[in-house]
Amino acid sequence: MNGYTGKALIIDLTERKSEEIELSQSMLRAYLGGSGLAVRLLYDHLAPGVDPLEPGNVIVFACGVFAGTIVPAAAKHSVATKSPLTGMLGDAMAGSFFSHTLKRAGYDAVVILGRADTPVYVFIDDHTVYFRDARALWGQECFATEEAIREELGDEAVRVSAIGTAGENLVRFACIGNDRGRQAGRTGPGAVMGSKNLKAIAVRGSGAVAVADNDAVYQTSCDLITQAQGPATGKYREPGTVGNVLTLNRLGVLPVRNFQRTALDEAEGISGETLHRRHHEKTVACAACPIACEQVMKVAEGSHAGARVSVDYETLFALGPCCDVDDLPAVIRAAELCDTLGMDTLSTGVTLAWAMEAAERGLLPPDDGVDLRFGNADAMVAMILKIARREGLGEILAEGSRLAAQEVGKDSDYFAIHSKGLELPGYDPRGMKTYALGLAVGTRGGCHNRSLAYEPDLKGKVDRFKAEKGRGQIAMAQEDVAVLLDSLGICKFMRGCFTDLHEEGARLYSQATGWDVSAQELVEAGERISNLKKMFNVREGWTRELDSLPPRLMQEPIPDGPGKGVSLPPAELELLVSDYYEARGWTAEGEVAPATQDRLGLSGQTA
Amino acid sequence: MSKRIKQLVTEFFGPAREITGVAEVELDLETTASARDLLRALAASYPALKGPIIDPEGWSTAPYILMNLDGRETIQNYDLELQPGARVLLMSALAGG
Amino acid sequence: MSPSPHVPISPHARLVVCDPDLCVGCQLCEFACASVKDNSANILRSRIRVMRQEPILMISIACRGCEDPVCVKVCPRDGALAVNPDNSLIDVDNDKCDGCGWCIDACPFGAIVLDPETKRVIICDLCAGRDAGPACVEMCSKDALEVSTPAVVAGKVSQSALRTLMDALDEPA
Repeated sequence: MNGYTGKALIIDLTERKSEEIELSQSMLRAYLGGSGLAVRLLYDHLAPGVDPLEPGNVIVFACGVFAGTIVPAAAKHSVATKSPLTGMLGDAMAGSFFSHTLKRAGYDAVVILGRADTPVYVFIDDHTVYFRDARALWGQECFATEEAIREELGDEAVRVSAIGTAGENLVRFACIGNDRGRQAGRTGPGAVMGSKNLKAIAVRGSGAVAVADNDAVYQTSCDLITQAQGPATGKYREPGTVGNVLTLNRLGVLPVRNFQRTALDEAEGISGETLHRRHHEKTVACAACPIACEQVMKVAEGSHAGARVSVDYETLFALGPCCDVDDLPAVIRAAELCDTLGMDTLSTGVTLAWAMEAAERGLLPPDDGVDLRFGNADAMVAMILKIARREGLGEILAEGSRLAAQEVGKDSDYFAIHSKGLELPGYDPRGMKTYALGLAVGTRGGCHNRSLAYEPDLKGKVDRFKAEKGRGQIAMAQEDVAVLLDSLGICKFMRGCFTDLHEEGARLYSQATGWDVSAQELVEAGERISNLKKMFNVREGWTRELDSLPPRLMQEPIPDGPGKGVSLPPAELELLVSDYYEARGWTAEGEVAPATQDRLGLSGQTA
Repeated sequence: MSKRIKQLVTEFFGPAREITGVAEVELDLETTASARDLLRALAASYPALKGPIIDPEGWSTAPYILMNLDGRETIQNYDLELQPGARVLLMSALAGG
Repeated sequence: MSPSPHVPISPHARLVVCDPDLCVGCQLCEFACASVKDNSANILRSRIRVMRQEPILMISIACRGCEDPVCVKVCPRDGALAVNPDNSLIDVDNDKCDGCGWCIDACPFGAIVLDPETKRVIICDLCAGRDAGPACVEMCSKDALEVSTPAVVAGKVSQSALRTLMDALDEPA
C-alpha cells in the first residue's frame, strides 16, 4: 500500500500479546488517519460505559496520513481514548518524529488494551513487539524516560512517547510527551497510560514509507515549503504564537484572573515580545516542518536560572495572565515543570487560577507552605509539583477544575472555567460569539484548536459581539476543516499555505496513495469524522446540558476593554447551539439523526 | 489657509511594531481621510511597511495583516471615513497556539 | 565506537556545512537527499543526517572531507572508496563495495550510510552533476546549510565571535 502501511498493531497489556490487523482501503479513505483513524479504532474497540481509568479503557495512537514522507508539517499523530477529565472523547495530538518512526516500523496505528500487572514499556522494533520492565523508570520525568529508554536500547534513533509522574499518579489532565518537548497534551491521555501501568511506547522503524508518485509528492511539498516561508506563517516563525498576548489584550479577549477580566492594565511585561527578547534561546521544528514554531526559552539568572522549555501562547496565557502572574522566569519554570512531570499546561494553569480564586474567597483548606492567591508565582510553581504528586491540595486539583469544584462545593463551580470538564483556552468567548459556540459544542470539551471557530471572529468576517443564526453553519464548516487537518495529520499552522485545502489536499492524498480521491470526498470525510466523534460522546452518555459554557461567562458581562458590557446569556448560547445542530442535520436534542448517519455511512456501526 | 485636519492614532502590533520600532504613532490627516488615506500616510512615514504590512498597489493591508478600528471591528472597506480620535490597530491575523 | 581523536579536515574540501544556530532539526534535508538522489521517499537513503539532542542542539552532518580519510584506509575492498581530487569527498565504486560497513564504523562523524536497498554505502557527493547544486542546501529554508570550505567556515566563526564580543561590550552593565 502506498502512503499508508495498511496495518495497525493491537497490543494487549494484560496478556502481554500483540497482533497485526489489516486496515482496508475503504476504511482508510473514510477516516483518513490521525484523529479520524484513532477515533474510528477507539469506537470499534472500546466497550461503552467503562471507567476511563479502568483496564477496560482503550488508547489509540494513529499516524497522520503523510507521516514518514516529505509532506511538510504533516507528521502529527493523534491519541484517542475515553478521557478521564471529561468522561467523553479524549482527543489529543502531537507533532512528532514518533509518528514518522511508527510508520517506518510498519504501522498506521497502535491500539492498546488492558492493563499490565507491573510497570512496563512497549518497544515496537519494526514488526517485533517487546514488553519491557519499566519498574526502574517509574517515577522518572517524561524527558528523562525518553533518554533512559534510548540509553537502555542503545539506539539514538528510537523515538519514545512517555508519561511522567503526573500520568503515573493519574492526574486527570496528564499528557504524553515525545521528542523531548512535544506533547499529546489535552484531555488526560497520560493518566490513561498510567492506569495501564504503561510508562512509554518506544519505536524503532527501519522501513520506508512508499508513496505512489514520489516526483509529484516531492514537487507539491516543495511548493508548500516555499509557501511556508511566506506571510501565511510569519507570526508562527517569530515571535511564535506568544505574540497573541498583546493583540488579544488590545481586543479585550485576553482572560485575566480566572476570566474575571479581559485585559491587563500592563501587558508589555508578560508579552510574547518581551518573552522572546529576554529569554529566547533557540527555534526548533517538529518533524519535516519548514515553519519551526517551537521557541525554546531559557532563564539565565535568578531563582529560576536554568529553566528551559518551549513556550506557546496557551501556556503563557494559562500560567501568566490567567493566574495574574507577570513573572516570566516563573512562567518558564512552571511550563518546564508541566512538561517534565507530564501535565497539560492549559488545564494546569486554568485549574490553578480556579484554586487561587477559591483560596482568596476562603473556600479552600489551607495548604502547608503554599499561599495560593492570584499573582503568587512561587505558589503556582510549588503547587504544580504537588499536583503531580497528589500531595496536599494537589490531591484535589489533580482532578481538574470541574471535579475539584464539585469536591469543594460552596458554588465554586460558578468560576470553574471549563466546558465538559476541559479547561478553556486563552480567549474570552463573550467577545467572540462564533468561538463561544465552537467551544460549547466541541466533542473534546472547551477547545479552540478542534473548533477553529475563533477565526471568523478575529478576522472580522462576522460581528464577533453578536449571536445570530448562521453561526451554526460557520462553526460547522470551521470544525470540519480542523478535523480534516487533524486526520490528514497536517499542522493547522500550515492551513494558510493552501489556497484551497480540499482541492490541494485531495491532490496530495492521491499522489501519495495512488487512489483517485476528490475534494468532495475529503469534505465528506471531515463531516463523517466530526459526526463519529459526536456519536462516541452520545454512546458515553452525552446530554445537551453538556454543550455549555461556565456560569461566570454566561452571567457576567465583559467588565472592561473594547467589549465592555457585552454578555453571553444562556438564551443566546442556546440559540447558537440549536442553529449548529440544525446545520449538522442533528436532532433538536443534538443527537446525530439516523438520516445523517446513513448519508455518511455511519449507521449500524455500534461496537 | 491650511486644510482642516484630524488626529488619528495607529497602534502597531507584531510585525508592524517590529518594523516601525514604535508601539503607536499619531498622524494629522484631512478631515475626510479614509482608512486607505491613513495607510498611504503610514507608508510615507514608515516606507518599510510597504510590502509586509501595507500593499502599496491596492493601498490595503498585506495578506494576513488586519486593520482594526478601536479594537472592535476589522476594517473591510478601505474607503471608510475615519472619525477624529479613532484608534486604528495594525495586527497579524490571529490563529492558534 | 569512539571517534578518533585527531581527524584534520582537508583545507581544500568543499562540503555541506551546517550552522547549528540556524538548524531547526526538521529533517527536510534528508528527504531532499533521498528524493533527488534516488527518487525515494525513504530517508534512510539520505547521505546527510540530522542529529537532534533536544531541546536545543540540532545539526545536519554529511561527509566532512577528511585530510587522510579513515574510511578509505579501513576499506578491505581495494579501491572501493577513493578520495575525489576535486573536492576531497569520497567516491564509492559500487562494483567493488560489498556493503561490509567497516567504513561506517570508522567514520568519526557518522557520515557514511548503508543504503538499505542497494546494500552499498552512500556518501555525500555534493549532488555531482546537478546544476542547482546540493538538493539539501536548496531545500533548507532556514539557510542553515551551505557549500563551503573549512577556511571560509573558520572565517565566519571568527567574525561571529567578534560580533558576540561587541554585543557584550554594548550591553549596559
